[in-house]
Amino acid sequence: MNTEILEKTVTDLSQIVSGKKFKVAKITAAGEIRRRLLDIGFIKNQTGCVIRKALLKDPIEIEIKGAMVSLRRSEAKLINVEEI
Amino acid sequence: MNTPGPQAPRRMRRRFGRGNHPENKNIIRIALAGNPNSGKTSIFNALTGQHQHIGNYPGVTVEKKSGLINIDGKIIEFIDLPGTYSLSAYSIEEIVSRDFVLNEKPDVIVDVLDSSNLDRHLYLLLQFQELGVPIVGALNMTDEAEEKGIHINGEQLSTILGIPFVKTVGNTGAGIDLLLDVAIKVAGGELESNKRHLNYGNHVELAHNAIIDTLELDNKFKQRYSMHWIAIKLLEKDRDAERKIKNEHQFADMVFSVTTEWRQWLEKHYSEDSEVVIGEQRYAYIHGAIKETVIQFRKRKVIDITEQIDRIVLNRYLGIPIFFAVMFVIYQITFALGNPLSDGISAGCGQLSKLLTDIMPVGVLQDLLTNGIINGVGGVLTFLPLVILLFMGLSFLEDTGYMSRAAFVMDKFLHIFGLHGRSFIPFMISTGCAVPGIMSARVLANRKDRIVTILVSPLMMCGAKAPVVAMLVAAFFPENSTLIFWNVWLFGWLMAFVLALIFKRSLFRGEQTPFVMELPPYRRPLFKNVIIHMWEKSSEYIKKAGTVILAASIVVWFYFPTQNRRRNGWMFIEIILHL
Repeated sequence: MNTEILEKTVTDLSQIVSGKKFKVAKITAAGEIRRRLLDIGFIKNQTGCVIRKALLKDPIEIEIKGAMVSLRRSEAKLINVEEI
Repeated sequence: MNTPGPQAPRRMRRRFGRGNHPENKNIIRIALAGNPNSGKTSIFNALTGQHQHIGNYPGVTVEKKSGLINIDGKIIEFIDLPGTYSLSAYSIEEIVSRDFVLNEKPDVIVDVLDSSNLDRHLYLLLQFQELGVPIVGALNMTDEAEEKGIHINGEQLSTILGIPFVKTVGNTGAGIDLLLDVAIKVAGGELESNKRHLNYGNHVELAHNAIIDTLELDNKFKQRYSMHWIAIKLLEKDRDAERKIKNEHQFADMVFSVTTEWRQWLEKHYSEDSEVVIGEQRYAYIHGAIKETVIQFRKRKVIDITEQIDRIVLNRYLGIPIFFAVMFVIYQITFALGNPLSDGISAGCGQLSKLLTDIMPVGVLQDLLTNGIINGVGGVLTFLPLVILLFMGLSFLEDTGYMSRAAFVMDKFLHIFGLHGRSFIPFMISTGCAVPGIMSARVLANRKDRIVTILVSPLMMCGAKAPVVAMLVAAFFPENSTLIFWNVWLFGWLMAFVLALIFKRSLFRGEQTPFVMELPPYRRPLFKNVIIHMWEKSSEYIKKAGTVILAASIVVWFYFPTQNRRRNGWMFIEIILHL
């Protein structure tokens, strides 16, 4: 039981289910996508919440830095997060 | 279509030229900047009223709005910069914004911020500040923020960032006069702005200072740009800044080697890419400033109105039917209301032609007027009701915030064909008529998406093609004409998607453009803004289409002197227009 708390499970953002919160660990994207994610607030240790997913789980609506943003599933895969 | 009107640039240049002379300070130039959804358009409309001029930034398809007003003998020119989240070198809008500031050196930048979303909006403001031009912040939509329990200490924020801030509400006009007053004072040097710049933390500052030392070796270069800005951009691996060094700096090689060295040092220290380090430090600095100046009284209401609406509108299963219902309403307003008006204009032109034929002597002039000019101008005007009504609808969708939701709902399906969620809107409109359909491709922000959508939109069966197809089908397949007709209709859609995919894979290949976008809170659209937007688009259509079509009709009239040949010529023009 304790190991569950100690083990920080780093996964990518597309794996987080609706309604769950997360903390950004690292952006693995490059180039323009990385820059856009950074600009819109996906920075290290930033917390956010997955609000909902569209049909076929793509795109994904996320609350981050007090605003709602929408990401494609392929883009969410490029963000490593910790579920909290 | 992409070049500005022939007079515009010359007039602009003269204006800018005069503004640059220190002894002639009659013209104050204010650049308006801000994130998308910051309410910048409302502020711009409140500042300029009806006195707006629309063109393009030189050489690019980015729309440039400007407005002139006269206050106590002072002429003030407002230039609306494109709404962006950042000032990187990845998008043409961002490059246009910063080049405008660097090259044209406006007297002051007014940056519009959404008060309830301050950190993301300050992120852009601080990047503008780095360009080295005086800046004023408009804390916009303060009413909405107060409602959410967010209180900003504007004075303290000004002290911390070294920038004057004014609270405004663009929709009601509150604070606009004060904003203008402060901006004029900053432009005239009566009020200080930009006393300090963002602190990136000790490590970055060390690297940054070392690069500045190298940059300053070239005196000419030093006078041209803000060294602070160039140094930060070099650390961010900004392609545009690198190009500026390569082309303009006397000791480019030395600058590059110093930059590479410091970048590596930073990356080793933070074990993160230097571009990410700079971005994170920027946000860290903002976080510090906000902590000292913003008080959030009560937590946001558990479920606000936007979320309540989105639970239905973005529902996994209801989202798509709702999108089609919304599009159906827009479509009906455009065509059910617009077509009778178009027919009226068409009939009116016919009457005018007839009248002229009756009263004027038969001859070249009469023929040119009736068959050349009236025919051509009429052709443009018949589309006008459709354009006006369509843009009223689109502006309504954009201003309420639904447009981003439409993209969210439709993106999965369209992305399969390499298109963007918003591409569906031009497609739908094109089933009524390709002319407003193509014009509505403006809803797409990305250039590649826009061009591909425009290229395939006319493949849809439109109101003008349908009767021709129906006639041909009836003639060739009398037994099962309905089935064949619907197959032709479907084939048009199919071809549009297939060709879009082919275009995306061939002509418009390249890096995927990010979908990352904000879903803004729902807002009640301002009637005034919808009308101004509608007016802009319609007059733009008349100017652009009007000049081309009028010229074309005179050419056709000239080259196809007989009735028969002229008809062929018109068919040719129509084919081109439809393509």
